[in-house]
Amino acid sequence: MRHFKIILLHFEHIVEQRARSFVWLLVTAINPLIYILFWKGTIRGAQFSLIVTYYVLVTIMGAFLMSHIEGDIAVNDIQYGQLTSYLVKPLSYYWKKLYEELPYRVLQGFFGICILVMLTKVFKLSIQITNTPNILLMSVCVMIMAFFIAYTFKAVLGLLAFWFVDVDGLFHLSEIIIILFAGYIMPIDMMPKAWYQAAQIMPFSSMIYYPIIVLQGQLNVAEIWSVLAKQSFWLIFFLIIYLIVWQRGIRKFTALGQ
Amino acid sequence: MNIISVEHFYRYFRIYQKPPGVLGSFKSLFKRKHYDSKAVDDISFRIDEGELVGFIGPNGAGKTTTLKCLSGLLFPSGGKISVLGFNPFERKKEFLKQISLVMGQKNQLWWDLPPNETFLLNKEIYQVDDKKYKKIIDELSELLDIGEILNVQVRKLSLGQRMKCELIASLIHTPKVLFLDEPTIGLDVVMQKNLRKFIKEYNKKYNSTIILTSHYMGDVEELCKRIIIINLGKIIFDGNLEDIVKKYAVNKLLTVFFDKPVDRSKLTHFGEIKEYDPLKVKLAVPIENSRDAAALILKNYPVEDINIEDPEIETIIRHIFEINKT
Repeated sequence: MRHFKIILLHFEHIVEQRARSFVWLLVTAINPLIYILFWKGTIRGAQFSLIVTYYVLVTIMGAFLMSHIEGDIAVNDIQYGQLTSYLVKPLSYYWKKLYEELPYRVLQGFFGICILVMLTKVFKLSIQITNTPNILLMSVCVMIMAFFIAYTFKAVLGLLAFWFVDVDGLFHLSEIIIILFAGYIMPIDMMPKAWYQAAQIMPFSSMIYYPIIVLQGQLNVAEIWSVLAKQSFWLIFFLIIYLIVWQRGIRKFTALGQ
Repeated sequence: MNIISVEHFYRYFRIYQKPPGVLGSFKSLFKRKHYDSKAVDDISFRIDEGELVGFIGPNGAGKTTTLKCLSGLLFPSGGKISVLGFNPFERKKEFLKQISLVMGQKNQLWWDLPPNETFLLNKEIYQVDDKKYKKIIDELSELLDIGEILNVQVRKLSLGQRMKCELIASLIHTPKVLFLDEPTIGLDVVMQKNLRKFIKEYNKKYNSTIILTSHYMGDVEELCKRIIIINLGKIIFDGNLEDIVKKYAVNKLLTVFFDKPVDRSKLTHFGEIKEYDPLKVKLAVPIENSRDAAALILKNYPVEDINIEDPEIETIIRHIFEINKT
């Protein structure tokens, strides 16, 4: 209950900044919309419907699941020393930042759904989502796991500012890798074989691609279990990395002159 | 009972240097020169429950570093620190629930929401029950006289009002130990006075242990019975404020008002003339000569009034820093 109240209070804060959230969503929505236009000229019929659904879901899943906490951690908390006000409070930094981030995702996801409804009405788009209850339920689990993987990965990236003064380059590099391998450009199964295999090995497909294709009903129950197993591995992996980086970094945090 | 105990504590920072020029930049890619800056160098002290201690020193003396180590923000390079029986750097929840750190240049209030929302957030974080929360908010907002601004957006508040709200946000869980780092920085004299009054009353009411760092001697003089002076990472004085006058004051200040003009040259042998006009002089006279000098002035000059006082604490402390420069 206490944690729920904390999330609600953060949500109240985010609502005050709703315009900012909406603008960010539009920024992230532009690329998928361009891809839809591109595919419109090359494929038709049921396959086009599947592709449109995919890109609309990329926008929504990106808004719901892809955390952007790294800059805040690196710049505001570590470099400007705002971390001090977190460290003296009896609530772990991981959860406190998650509670700050969660309302952003919910609000952006809500905006994303509004855009989806608007697009389907205006352009008479056909969106294909599974209607099997157990697959839908499993899809929610895959999405929750995806959110935690993305959040923990981005938190680790942000914490690298304990060691590096300029982390911007690293953040841009990670964004490029995510765009390439998470399924933002196109479904990774449509990419060249080597690319697809690389994307399978890396954690990024678990953040966006799998939540989308599970929701589209493209995987059966056994395959979804294997996605969840893969996601569990990556979540545990990033959590361990997070703990190591946090424990070492916090010793390095000097707050000198901050 | 000792609430804070610090033994042979030191904190060094590794500082890297880069030689000037492009060549220097290339060289530092492969080998960087560094030295260890001794921010705090082997200090020890103890503070009892309910004490309000002033921690003073010039910029870079080590005050804030000490405060950060005491509150668990910094890892000490060595020595032993105990606060409420805990090792601060372990940052155990039971420890964090009993302390608070207020930094005048840092804020925790949500900029876009009224202060009440930040208070509610801290209420949940510190798990304060509803009844206690209401009581403390009522008490603190009355003490600080800010009842009417609790529902106003923080961005619309003045600096002084924000500082008052920062204090309340930090005190919702009624911490047993309070670290105040420059709480009055940037505030006008009226607001400084109000905050000092509040800190004093809070200390008395809750018997909390408070360490205060400040550049304003007014803060320390008005609030602290005991002061710890730190310079270049070392403690150079730890004792009562009045003892510092006895120990370090070299001169007394004699202010003399004359009925008739007195020539400056006739007064120079009594001591150093700080201010002069023909009808008034302010003299710094060595303590051991001050009585005789006053008697002689009264006897030999047309004195209307004479006032003998100790030098200002600020002057004494400046003197202490100067003699401890090396």
